[in-house]
Amino acid sequence: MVQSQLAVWMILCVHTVLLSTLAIQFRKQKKGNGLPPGMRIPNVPIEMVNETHYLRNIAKENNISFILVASEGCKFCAAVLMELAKQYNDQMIPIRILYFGNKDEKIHIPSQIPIYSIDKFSIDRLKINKFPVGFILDDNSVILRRDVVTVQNLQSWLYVRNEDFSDLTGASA
Amino acid sequence: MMEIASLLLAYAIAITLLLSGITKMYDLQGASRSAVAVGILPASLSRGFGFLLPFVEVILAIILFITSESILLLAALLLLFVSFAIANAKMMIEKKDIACHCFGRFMSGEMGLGSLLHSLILIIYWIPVFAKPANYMNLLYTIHDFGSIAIIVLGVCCLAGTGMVARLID
Repeated sequence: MVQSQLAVWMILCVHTVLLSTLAIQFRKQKKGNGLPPGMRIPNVPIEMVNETHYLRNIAKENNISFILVASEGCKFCAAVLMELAKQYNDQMIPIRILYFGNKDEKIHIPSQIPIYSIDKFSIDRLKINKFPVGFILDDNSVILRRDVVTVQNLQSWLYVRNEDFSDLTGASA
Repeated sequence: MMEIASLLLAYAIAITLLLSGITKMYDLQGASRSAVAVGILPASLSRGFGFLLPFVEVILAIILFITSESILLLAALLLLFVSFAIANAKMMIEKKDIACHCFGRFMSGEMGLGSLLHSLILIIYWIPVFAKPANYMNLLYTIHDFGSIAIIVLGVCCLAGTGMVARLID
């Protein structure tokens, strides 16, 4: 009886260690390109000229908006931002840039696009570990699309409408 | 022995359902959005399903903590797990990127392989529970020693944890 109990304890201990190791490994391998569509974006604080704003309030301003999260020292972000500056016109959906770290002064962003700074804690809450990442948000702060933004796919982010996400909102039914 | 296995697996299912139901109750809108996005049912029905699901999960979990002798309960559990598996398989096939909301806002995973594996694990757990239904309260009354109780608690946590870890697979 004691031996069988010991055996069960051994199995349980090995199982627990194995589960913990697997959980750590799987977490490390997560894609890290942001919270998935269908979730509400966390109301993280973002700053602009020493003034604190909140992400959900920013989303509320328009019925759909494109949030581009870029980081200091990321050459892909610089390329995407330069392409954005080149393509920018007033037919695009409202764009907000969240910048992690100090913005490279060489990158010129049109003055119509507000740039906010975001801290590491907020980046973690958005589950981002690669840059640049984009989110399309509706006015309820629900994520309609998330992905890594590239120069090649940038155009597909800039002219979206709420109707493009009817499968998520059920609006067409 | 078979009854203890049935108890461990039933309690692992019940804990998973209880956690899933309670966490979804904090985010009913999200659960209903996911149900709509899956697109198996019409949007209005999906919304209703999304709102009702957390309450159904909690009720099934509470009954399962007491007994698994009801064939209706076992049928409802199987139906629930099979529907989860189908929904996740559909999302995988359609390559849709959608939040699962399986555990509300507390676990921000997406639908896909991980959630499908979790559903399949729950179906595998269901088989011995179905094969050896029992009144778990009566069974627990017969267990008195601390060692056995500790083994049951840790065993249930490990079994429930296996499913949760499967969810982390991308």
